[in-house]
Amino acid sequence: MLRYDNYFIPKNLDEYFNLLTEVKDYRIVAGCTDVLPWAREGRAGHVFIKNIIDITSIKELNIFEIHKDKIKISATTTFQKLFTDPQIRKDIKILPQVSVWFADDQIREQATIGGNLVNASPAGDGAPAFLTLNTEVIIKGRKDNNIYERKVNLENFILGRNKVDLHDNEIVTALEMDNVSGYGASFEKVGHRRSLVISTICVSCVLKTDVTGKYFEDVRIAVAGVREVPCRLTKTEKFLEGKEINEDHILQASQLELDVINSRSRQEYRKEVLQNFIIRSIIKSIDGKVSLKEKYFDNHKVSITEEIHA
Amino acid sequence: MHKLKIDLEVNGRKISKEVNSHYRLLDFLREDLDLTGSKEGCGAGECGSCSVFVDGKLVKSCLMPVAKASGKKIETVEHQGTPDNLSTLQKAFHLTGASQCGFCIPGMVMAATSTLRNNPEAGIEEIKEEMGGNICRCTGYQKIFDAVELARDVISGKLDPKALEEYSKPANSYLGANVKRIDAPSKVTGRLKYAADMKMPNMLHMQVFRSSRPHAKIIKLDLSKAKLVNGVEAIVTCDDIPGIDNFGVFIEDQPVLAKGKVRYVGEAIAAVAADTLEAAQEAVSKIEIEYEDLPALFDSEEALKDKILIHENYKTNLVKHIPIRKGNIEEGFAKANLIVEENFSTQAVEHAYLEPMAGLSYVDSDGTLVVISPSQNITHHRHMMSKIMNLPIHKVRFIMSPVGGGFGGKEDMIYQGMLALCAVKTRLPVRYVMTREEDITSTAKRHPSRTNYKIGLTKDGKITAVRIKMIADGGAYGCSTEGVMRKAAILGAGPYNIENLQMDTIGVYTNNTPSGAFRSFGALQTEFATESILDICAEKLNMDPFELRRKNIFVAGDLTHTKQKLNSASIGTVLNELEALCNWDKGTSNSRGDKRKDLNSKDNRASCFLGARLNTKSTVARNVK
Repeated sequence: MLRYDNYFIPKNLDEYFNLLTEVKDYRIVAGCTDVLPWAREGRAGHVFIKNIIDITSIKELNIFEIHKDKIKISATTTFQKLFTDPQIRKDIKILPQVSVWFADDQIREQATIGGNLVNASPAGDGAPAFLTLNTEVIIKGRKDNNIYERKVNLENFILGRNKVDLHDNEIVTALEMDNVSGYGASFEKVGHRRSLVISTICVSCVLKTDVTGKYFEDVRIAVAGVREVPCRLTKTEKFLEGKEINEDHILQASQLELDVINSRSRQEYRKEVLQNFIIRSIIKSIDGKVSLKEKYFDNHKVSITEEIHA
Repeated sequence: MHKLKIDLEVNGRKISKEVNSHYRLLDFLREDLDLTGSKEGCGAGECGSCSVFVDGKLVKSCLMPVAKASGKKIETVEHQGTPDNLSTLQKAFHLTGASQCGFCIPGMVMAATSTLRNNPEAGIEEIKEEMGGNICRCTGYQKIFDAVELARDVISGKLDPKALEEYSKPANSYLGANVKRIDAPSKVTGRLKYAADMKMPNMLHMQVFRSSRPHAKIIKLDLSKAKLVNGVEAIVTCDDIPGIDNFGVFIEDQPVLAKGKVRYVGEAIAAVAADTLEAAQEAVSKIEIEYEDLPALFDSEEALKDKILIHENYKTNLVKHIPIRKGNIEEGFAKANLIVEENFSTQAVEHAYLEPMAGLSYVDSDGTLVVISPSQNITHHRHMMSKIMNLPIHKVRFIMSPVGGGFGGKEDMIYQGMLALCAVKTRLPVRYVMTREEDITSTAKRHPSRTNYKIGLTKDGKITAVRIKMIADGGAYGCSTEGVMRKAAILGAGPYNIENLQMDTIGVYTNNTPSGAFRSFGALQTEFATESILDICAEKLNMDPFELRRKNIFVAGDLTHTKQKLNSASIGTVLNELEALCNWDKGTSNSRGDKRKDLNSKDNRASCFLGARLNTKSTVARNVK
């Protein structure tokens, strides 16, 4: 059980930074959907933290800007907002897709995108989706009474398991990412059940074809759950860019980077799933225009479930 | 305890209150407002028994610090309808029989309400997806989904509200009739009080200090620091037992609190009763113990060697061996054209009833010890308790509180003894509510099993002989192992006429979590092996698996495995019904691959998927702002 004496809800950044200097023993929370289950038997057990600082009411974090090239949204945006916002559903299809796989409707009402990234769980669902949007993490800090801002590319922000490039005097205020209007997208995830499940492996794919629809133009694929830090599959992406969309190219690409898997367990299983997910996510992102079911079965004898419904 | 002030609106009522600052919204609703319709099934956001609306959005109240709820509008299940004025959804839950144990149902009603508020025309896939955060252990969900679809159609006007009253009137038999469940209105409205929902004046809270070792002697148990914690009224250990210790469903070998040694991780050693839950937890954290580790046994076959003894006074780790002999298996195997031998194993399984173990005990004014708990076996518990507490039987009273799912898991008297000790020692009411983690760690599981199976058949599929040997891991204490072995032996070879049978089921002690009663009570483990090996044999004989079974099933006049003559047998009818219901495509299971016609056919459920609401035509995007 999590116990604390004080629960602070700062209303603006000044109050927030003042708190950081005034109180000692504290923990910063947003949605609280991770911290409460964490402070239970079998994980952290009974935890006493003197002060909790809740950042969800800081007015400077009330950011939701959708521009033509970029979108900028608050770190305290909930995953359910990404699932339901009409503009996001239209332009950035990967976000509602990752959201539908994220926990369940009720937890998504509280869980925030900033919290998901700052926790830096190797199995976090958010990171691969945000990686495929070339996300930059916007951080504010206060030093000598001056508030400063810095931006860190998400790839550089996550340093390791539960480790991120964020100092004690700072806060993640927003995420800025590409508006990928017109791109296809697909999020693939497998775990022990459907809702409320930690990814055994998850893959995010965002891609664009050229005007003819015959060639890959911009391909972005990222994976999580298979190594300490989620990553983009850059070799796979480069291989496909400019190539004709056909089953041979997709099959070849799917085999290029299976060595990113460095999980503690079930590596062979994850390799097989990763390859299937790369293939499936590409096919879904191009609306199933290519089917390589027959050939794939012949060559690999692994099953692929056709599930093109997105 | 630190307090904070909150102002909020709950079910339309403005509330301004000082609350424990570390409370979750769920604690505040249950403990301070007595709104116990929101249940705590897991405390970790997994089960949805605590779902409530906060400013119109459904959330899990176990994941929300109460401070966050300040300034918000809260709506709980108590606001949906009352037992004599049910909401449409609640009526639908009543009609379809969606509330069984009822523990998940308040949360389910809330999730269904949210789903239909977001999209009054939600299709079945949307309903399934949006209610994915709520777990039910009883229904298999179908009756819940039926209820939501029914309510949706009544609300939208497609169905006459009279459809909500269409209970059948049983003529000659209740079989197959949809009878009005009298307990449903109290469950769908969250009014029914389970043990954890009950409160008494001056009630204490109990917490338990448990073993971190699988097998160890207790060298020293130091309670001195724990006793100093403010609010602690009593700490009990095995030394406080006035009568004859030990309980168990078949063999009474389990002490109420560990006596000198621990035999599994999670075994209770001491129990603390204090005026607040927090004080009891703090006291438990201050109990000091010194163990001397003993070599531990985790393997059931290794246990049979008796090199390490779990219970020294028994001189063996064997709990029970049930042998059955019928005919002559050597002669039977000699007649076989096909002999298959395979090994099967099954794992420990948690019952996962939605209601964690909970109980309340007090001593009545006339000295009667009262224990209220969701026990599945109160009469036996009462007898054991009388012996343990050294009280005449008429001074022990057991009240069965509503069981929020049991599945056999609530047959053991695993915590009632500690509660009684605390109540007698303090003369105050004492309540104990396990956390989900504690429940999983300390309560009995399904017996893990290993089965060696040898079967002989003629080439036209007639079974000539079967030899089965199952070793089951009974864990640290006897619990129901004896009964489970009996049923495994009697039923395990399946509903088949086997002339030559040798069956042995063997239950052993290990240092694993005790194994106990669980739905089907032993028959599952051996029958899993039987049905699996029949499928393997059908493939080898190139036969349809239904046909192979039909050649061997019991008919009237056959002798059962224990040589009882059957006057009737219904398995043939059951098989025919099953075959028709699943649209079985005749043939061996391994011959048609994905070409078989029964896959995804009518009434066969396709595998689930997510994304029903990603369709941009979905009304979700329009309704949610």
